Amino acid sequence: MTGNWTDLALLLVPLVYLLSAGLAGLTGPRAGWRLVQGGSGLALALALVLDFAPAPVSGWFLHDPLNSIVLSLVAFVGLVVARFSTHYLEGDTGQDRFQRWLQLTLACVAVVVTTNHFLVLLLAWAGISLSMHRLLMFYPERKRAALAAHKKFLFARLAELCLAAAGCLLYLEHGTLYIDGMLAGYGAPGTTLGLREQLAALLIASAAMIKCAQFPMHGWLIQVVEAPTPVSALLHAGIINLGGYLLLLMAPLMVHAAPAKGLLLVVAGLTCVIAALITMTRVSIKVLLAWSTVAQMGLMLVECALGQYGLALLHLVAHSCYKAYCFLAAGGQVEAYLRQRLAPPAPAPRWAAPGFAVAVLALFGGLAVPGLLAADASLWLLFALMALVLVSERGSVLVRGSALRVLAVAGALTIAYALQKLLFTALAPAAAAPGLAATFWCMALFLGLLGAYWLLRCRPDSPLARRLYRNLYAGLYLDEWSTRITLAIWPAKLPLRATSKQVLTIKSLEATR
Amino acid sequence: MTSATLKQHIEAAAAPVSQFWPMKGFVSHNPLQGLEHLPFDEAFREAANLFGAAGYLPLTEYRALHWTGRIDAASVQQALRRCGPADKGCISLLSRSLSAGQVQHLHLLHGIDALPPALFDWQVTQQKALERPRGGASVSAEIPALWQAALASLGLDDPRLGLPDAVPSRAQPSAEADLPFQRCLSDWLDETGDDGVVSAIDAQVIKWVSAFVDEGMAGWVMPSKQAGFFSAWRELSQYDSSGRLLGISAFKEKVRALPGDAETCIQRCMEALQVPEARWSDYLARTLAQLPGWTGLIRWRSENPDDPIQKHNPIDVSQYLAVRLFYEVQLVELAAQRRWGIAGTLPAISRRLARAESAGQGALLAAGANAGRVCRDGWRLFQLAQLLKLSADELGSLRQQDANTVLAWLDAFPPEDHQRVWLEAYEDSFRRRLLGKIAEHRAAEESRLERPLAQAAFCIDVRSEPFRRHFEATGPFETFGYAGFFGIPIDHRSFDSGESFPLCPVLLSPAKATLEVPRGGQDDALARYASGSRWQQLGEHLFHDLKHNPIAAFLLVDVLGLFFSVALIGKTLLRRPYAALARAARRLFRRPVATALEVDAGEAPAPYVTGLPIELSRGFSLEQQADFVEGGLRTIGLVENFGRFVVLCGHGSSTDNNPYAAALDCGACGGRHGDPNARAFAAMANKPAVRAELARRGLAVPDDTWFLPAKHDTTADTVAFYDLADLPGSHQQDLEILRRSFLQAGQKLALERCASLPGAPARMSPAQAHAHVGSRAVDWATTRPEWGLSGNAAFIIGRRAVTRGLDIGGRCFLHSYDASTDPEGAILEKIMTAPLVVGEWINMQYYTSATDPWKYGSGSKVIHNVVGGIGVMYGSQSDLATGLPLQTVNDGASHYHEPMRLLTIIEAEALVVAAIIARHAILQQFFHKGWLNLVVLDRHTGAFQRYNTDASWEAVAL
Repeated sequence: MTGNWTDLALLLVPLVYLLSAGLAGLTGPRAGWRLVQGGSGLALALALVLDFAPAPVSGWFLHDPLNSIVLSLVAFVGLVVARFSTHYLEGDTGQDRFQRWLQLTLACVAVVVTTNHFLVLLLAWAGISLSMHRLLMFYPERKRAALAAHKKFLFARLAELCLAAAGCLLYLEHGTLYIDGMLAGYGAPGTTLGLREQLAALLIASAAMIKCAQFPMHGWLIQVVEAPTPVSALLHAGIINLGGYLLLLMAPLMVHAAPAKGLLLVVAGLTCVIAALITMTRVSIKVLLAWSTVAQMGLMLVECALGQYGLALLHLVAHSCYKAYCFLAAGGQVEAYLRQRLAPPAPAPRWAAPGFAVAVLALFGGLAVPGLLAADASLWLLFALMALVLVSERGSVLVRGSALRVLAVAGALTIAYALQKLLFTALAPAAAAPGLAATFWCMALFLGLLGAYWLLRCRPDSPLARRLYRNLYAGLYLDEWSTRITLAIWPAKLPLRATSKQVLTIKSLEATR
Repeated sequence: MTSATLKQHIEAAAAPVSQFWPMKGFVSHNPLQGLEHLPFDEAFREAANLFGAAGYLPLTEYRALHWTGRIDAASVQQALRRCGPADKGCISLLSRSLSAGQVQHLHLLHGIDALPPALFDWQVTQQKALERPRGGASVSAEIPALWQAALASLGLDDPRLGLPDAVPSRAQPSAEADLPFQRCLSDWLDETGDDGVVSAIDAQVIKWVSAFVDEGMAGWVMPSKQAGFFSAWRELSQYDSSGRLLGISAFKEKVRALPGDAETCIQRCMEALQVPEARWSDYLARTLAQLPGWTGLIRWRSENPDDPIQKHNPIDVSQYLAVRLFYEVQLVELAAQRRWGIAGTLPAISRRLARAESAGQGALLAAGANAGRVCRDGWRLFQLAQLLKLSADELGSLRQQDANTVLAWLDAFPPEDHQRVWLEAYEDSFRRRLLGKIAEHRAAEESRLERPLAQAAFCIDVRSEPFRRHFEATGPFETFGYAGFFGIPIDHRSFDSGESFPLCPVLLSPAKATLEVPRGGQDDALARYASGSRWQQLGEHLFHDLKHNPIAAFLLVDVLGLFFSVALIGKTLLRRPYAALARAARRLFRRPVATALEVDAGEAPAPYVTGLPIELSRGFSLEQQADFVEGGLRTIGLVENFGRFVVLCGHGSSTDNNPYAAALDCGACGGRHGDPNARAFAAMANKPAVRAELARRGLAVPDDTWFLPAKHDTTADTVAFYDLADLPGSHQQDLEILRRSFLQAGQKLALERCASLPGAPARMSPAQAHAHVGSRAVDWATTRPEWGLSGNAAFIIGRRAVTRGLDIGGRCFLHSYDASTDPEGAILEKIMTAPLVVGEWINMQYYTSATDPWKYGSGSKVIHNVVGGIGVMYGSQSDLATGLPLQTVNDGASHYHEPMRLLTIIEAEALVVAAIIARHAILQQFFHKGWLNLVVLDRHTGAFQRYNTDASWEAVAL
């Protein structure tokens, strides 16, 4: 096998993680953390250098901007989590376990986002899930953690099954397991797919949705907040979005697969809207953040389905940074809340309802001119929307002199967004214009969200709002059903509640020892 | 049952669950406050039954402390005499005699317990327990003989011979099994089966209560909250499909059929369960004790009807009970139907379980009579003989009657009585060491300084002790200990804040409000500040709103998400530069404005007041101000020889990302920073009119004495001065000396603290240590920014001379008191009834958090999840965590906080102290029921006397 130094560096990244995982357990927690931090730092440095490296020649690795960005992102999140955990877990028994599984998880992720071989991808993907499972079960005696991890375990196997089946189908079609080989033929626009390819695309979309915790397989993501905070940060910032990576990776195929896109649009679209509303009803910070991730992942998948790969990539990266920060900073909520308590949002201003009406009209206006929404003109719409939301939320601050400020803030945000969008669109797989039906469906979803928001802000006491609250607060009972079905199919072995007799036995065992 | 009696039942049932203060002002308190009328040991037994929580360390840990020397052998003997069993007696064995005390001592040290019959084979075959000595590695020839001798002396057969064994007669099946004391039917079902009834009830109740008590986490608030919890729940839950999912039939109709009034609902539920009225109290007590955290919060809410949130969204214990019992009735019924097809009532379940129990008893007693006695008596005698190093001959000479006597001695001292003996021994070891140090130090007592440059008054907090020690070492300084609110209870509002906070111990409620106002002549600064803070507020509030807005959240992530990477890098990789940068940025937005504290009574409308209205009248009259100053100075015994400065040093902590931040702040200021109280005291004491009034009252303060307010940041060990704008020019130079001294003291203290802070590098210079603790204050990842009051073990009321220059390890509250100026004990009485009480709360909070970190404490910070802005849960859903987190009391594998009761040392006449105790019920409770230990120190002879729970005194031998 021949290669250049890019190949070597790409090979080194997971090896560095593996090496630090192997050594960390042997040296005691302090030195272990130094090793883990060193390994993660080195991996990040390699990933950053790789962003500017020439193409690899061996054929084992992929080296598009997509891979580089995601690899750098994961290495970055990994380093932050390692540094954070060094102090956070000080004195905890089982730090060596934590270090080992953290590094193993990262090694697997590094393989997934760089490999060009479908089988390697599949195996590493399973590896992520298995080592993550150990992190989620960091306190194995916690029953709720065990149940959540059990569900996650089953869903992960299901996703791998989907992916493996898709791999088989694509292998039958193309006779190769190299990903670039599989995707080579789809570059031309207007390609039509055969049944096998359509099926493979559907399976890939399903795998991505399961990985991204879309309805009704979202429950585990909410419940695994039982795990230590840095594990949640890693999961929400570096692991969960790999479903999005999968779709971006397979973009050349997915672009042509209308059924798969349709499936994504329906499931992820509904998840996105409903989870966003459910997020609003949550009262504990970590659960709130987890629901928000479900919604955000939904948006990312919808963006993929619409062919807006640049947006999806931007969303993937931005969400990772945002969510990692939010989770790690979750302990500051008491203080943040204290500050907020002093300035509750004002009741919706009188002109909020007409404002919403205008927004709706504007949206339909956008529809009337085909292609307007995909074009950069949508930024103007965004700007108007942003200003509207800002003002309607902050009636209390909107005193003399602030109106301009609000507009200025909205403007600055829009410009920042436009620049980022430009950058990421250039780096991601080429965008494809969404079809009319897809656009209409998204409009409908958006209107639903807008309507619910209007209900909440302007008619919070109406019977409709109450009914909506009840169902949203219960998470639409989706998870209860899916748990029930999961447990019926594959019952969980939960940590046993120790009976008094067992305790007696164990105590006397200890005493006599 | 009348509604009045029902109310009494509910009140009695709620009493053992202590109130839980919402997290924003963490208040240390005894989680067993409701049981403090009981003796210490009894209270913890009661709580162990009710909450399932441990009030002592496990015996293995006490024993380990003994083997490592932390608990002295002498203390063990002493403790055994004081609170061990009363058996006396002696038997003789060939050449030696054996006393009850000796046997029980060994029992305490080694735990000579019966062997569960099921383990006998394992002990014999795996552990080779009958071939090699206890804990020994090699086989010894003597041991089998010893075993045979033990069996012989009791007239037992060796079970290994397989001789036929008499099967014990079965216990007569009782007609009815009775619900254990303080257990609910749901508990009982869970204990006898595996239905998870309690956890199902918990899940439903937590779901509704957390939504109701949320104070701003959710963007979409639970509707109908104004009507109160019970009504809101009734309205919403009837459409809740969870009931159906759990399997409850006709859920909607059942909820609709409930009476509109919570108490009637409770009555109906109890009747439905058919619990006899005599047992309602204990049944309800257990129902409330199942989620003590949430119940505690609800209790706090119902005791504070004026809290703005409680006013709008009322909830109380009855409403909670009504909901909880509704689920109990439904789910117990369901489980009983599913398991046995019977009704879910107490009589039906009792009858069914009685049958099950009598069937099971046979299996439990399957071991024959001989085997059972071998494992119980033979095994214990065998163990004891090994520990006594008896030979087989000696043991063989033991008569059966004597053998039974020996076993009776062991029976008289069951393992559950060991813990309190160990605790006493643990405390005694500490007491000996501390009193020994003080006695030794007495010889080296220094005379008072000529005229000190400064006197500094610190909070009594245990963290002040080392700081005072280092500060005194840097120059001609005297220090005093005084409650950190400096005796001035105020409802204080900071400049540009919209809310006032009571700054005083929670025992008191402030009568007057104070206000921080901008100093005159800085219109420019004010204008700049106002504009900057407007931007900042806009930003902060917008960000918060956007995060919680379903539409904007999507935009927000896309637009701002990437910028969070900067914060991630800064906070984890470049901690201190990032913190400095953030501070600078904040200052750019909010230019500092010089402020002063307004203490004078003022009728004029307050300037610059925003937010909630100030309800109390503002400020104090001249008379009152003089009272505060005089009272403070006389209490700590500072009445003459004033220095050029009297520094009033409050304290607070600075930490990041820490839900328990308030637990590190000043307990005497209601869990907040103490600088406003220091500023208020100084503002009063510096006023010429107050000085004149003081002089009239015979307390002359020299004109060149300046009262200087300051604050000690206990995390970073820095000191900030306040109101320097008022400082006369004549004192500027001295201020520099003071500044340098505090810096030095802070550095030395930092170095001392770093020795025990996990993760602190070894071998540092004082300056490096200071930098290290500074970086901990801005570290968002650390779970132990500082140790707080961890380690607290003693409360010393007396002159500084008693401890000056003595390193007592930051474990003592120090309250200054000079008995020579207080012959009647009036001042001492105030100290013992206020600061000492707070000391007991703090001590018990730490004690319980250390003995049971998951029940009394709040578990590991690592899995904490802030809920509703009021508290934390473990993971996605659990009881509200009360108490202190594991990381506050525990250093990895070992206890950093040694759980022991507070040792009060008072330098005063025993008679005076006894008279004060006799006057106050709360002190009698503390000292006669064993919640505190008390020793008085005779100022003249240096002798210590210990106060016993029966109000007698006993000399302490050192």
